Amino acid sequence: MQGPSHLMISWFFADASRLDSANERRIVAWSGLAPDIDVLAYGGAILWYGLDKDLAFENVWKVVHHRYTHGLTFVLLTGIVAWLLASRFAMSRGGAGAAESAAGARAWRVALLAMLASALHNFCDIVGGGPTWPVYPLWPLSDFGWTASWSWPLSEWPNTVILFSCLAATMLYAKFGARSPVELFGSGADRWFAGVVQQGSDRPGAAARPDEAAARTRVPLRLIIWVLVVLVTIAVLAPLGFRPDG
Amino acid sequence: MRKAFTALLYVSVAAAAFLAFAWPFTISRDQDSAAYHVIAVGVLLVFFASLLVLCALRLRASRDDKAA
Repeated sequence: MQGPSHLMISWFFADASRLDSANERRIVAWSGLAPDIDVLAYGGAILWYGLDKDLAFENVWKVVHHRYTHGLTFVLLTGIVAWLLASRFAMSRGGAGAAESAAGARAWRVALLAMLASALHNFCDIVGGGPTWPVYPLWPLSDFGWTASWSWPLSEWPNTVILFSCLAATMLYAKFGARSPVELFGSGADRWFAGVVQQGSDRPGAAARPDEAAARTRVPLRLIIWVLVVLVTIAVLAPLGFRPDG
Repeated sequence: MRKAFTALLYVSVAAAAFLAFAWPFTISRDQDSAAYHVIAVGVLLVFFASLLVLCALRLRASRDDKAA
């Protein structure tokens, strides 16, 4: 599955698990994308090979992708990092006695959800990552790679449907819930996005006044956002060989 | 209803983890297995369905809170 799909699915999973703190939802959502951190090696390799993408693909990406970060070891590592971050956020909120022990329990819950999101990423890659990209469940204890021969390549329609569904759900969440996966990039960005989707203004709360100026900005801003969504989607899908005509 | 769908969500995630990490070591390493195909797609559909319902319930609760 595409990275943005992993990220959005993990955020929705965190929200469906009734995490009310934005920081806790962020920890779980980024944990759901974390296994794809090996893309940094690909980026480094492209620079190393003087921007020769083919060499970087053959020598690095084909070797490292999924091998080291798509397994139980990385899931456990994700859980440890998530617990540390969640504990830090809980401590920064302060409190003592019962409040402290409740914060500790919340940190464990966030860590568990982060591990589940990371494990879900692996499953989604088996189903929707293509048969040529196995995951390595027990690395470094075993080099056995696991995949399914019927796995959908990234450019197949089910992955496209999932990506578009997540984008639509993001818009709906921003419109009706005043929060969305955009909060992964900052609370300010999320407030702005929700404000635009709800009110058609780039100034939060400005469209509470139903004047003509606000009404005029509504259509162009929404249009710009939809055009951006389509362009980002094309940018994600185009390198994968996706063609709308099949 | 929320509890039932929450249970369904976590069961599907646990099943997904089993299918990703434990299936080849406990059931079969056959990559063409029809059983694995059916179960994996089924688990994915159950996960998305329960996620959809729970997110819809969360959105409704948010709207009710705002309206109150």
